[in-house]
Amino acid sequence: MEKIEIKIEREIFKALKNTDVIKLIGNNLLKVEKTLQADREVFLLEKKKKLEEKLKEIEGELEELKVFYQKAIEDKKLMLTFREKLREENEELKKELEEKKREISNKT
Amino acid sequence: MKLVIKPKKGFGKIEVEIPQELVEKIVKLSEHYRVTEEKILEIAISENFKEPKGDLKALENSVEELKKKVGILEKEWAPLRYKAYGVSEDNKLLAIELSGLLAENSQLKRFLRKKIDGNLELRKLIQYYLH
Repeated sequence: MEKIEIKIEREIFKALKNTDVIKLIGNNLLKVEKTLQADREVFLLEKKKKLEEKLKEIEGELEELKVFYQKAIEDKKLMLTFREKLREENEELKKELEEKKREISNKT
Repeated sequence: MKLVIKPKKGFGKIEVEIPQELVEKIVKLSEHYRVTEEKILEIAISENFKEPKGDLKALENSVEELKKKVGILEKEWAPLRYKAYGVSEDNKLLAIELSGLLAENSQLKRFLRKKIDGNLELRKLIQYYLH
């Protein structure tokens, strides 16, 4: 990069006129690094908080989903059994009804 | 690299030539922390410094760990949701079919003058999946 332009507060600019800017930058680079670390720390703490909230939410949902899935599987088994039983029973009842109808028509 | 410093309000400017050695340090910081070189120079000149409060490396690790955990759970959650939805849809269809079979059963028993069962457990299941 050939040229960089920055804008700073007027008061700081005024004070800078009698300062060795290069020396100031060189001396302050370590503190700049600490400042950048502090900014990253704030960013990471916020990210960590959001991730913890998301984790808690997913854990809760996952638990609910597992319970729901388990119940659905058991219900399915139960309903299949009921269906089989009802189908057979209804077939028997239909035969019985047919038999009765035949008896009635034979009598008449 | 030439640095031009201007006040936010008012006139005037300061121009300095930053030595290559210092430029390299600035570029390295800029790349490592993913901030612009202007930002680094602004902080250095404004002397508006801050100090991190804790162990940044440990914090980075803990965020990475959390990301992994969330990723693993999300991978588990999506297919389970799909499967649960599938079984629940099967159960809805079964509930419709069972409702018809129950009605038929009651009608047949009525014709045959037989006792009609309550089938409470089954009726509850049907209600659950049809509503």
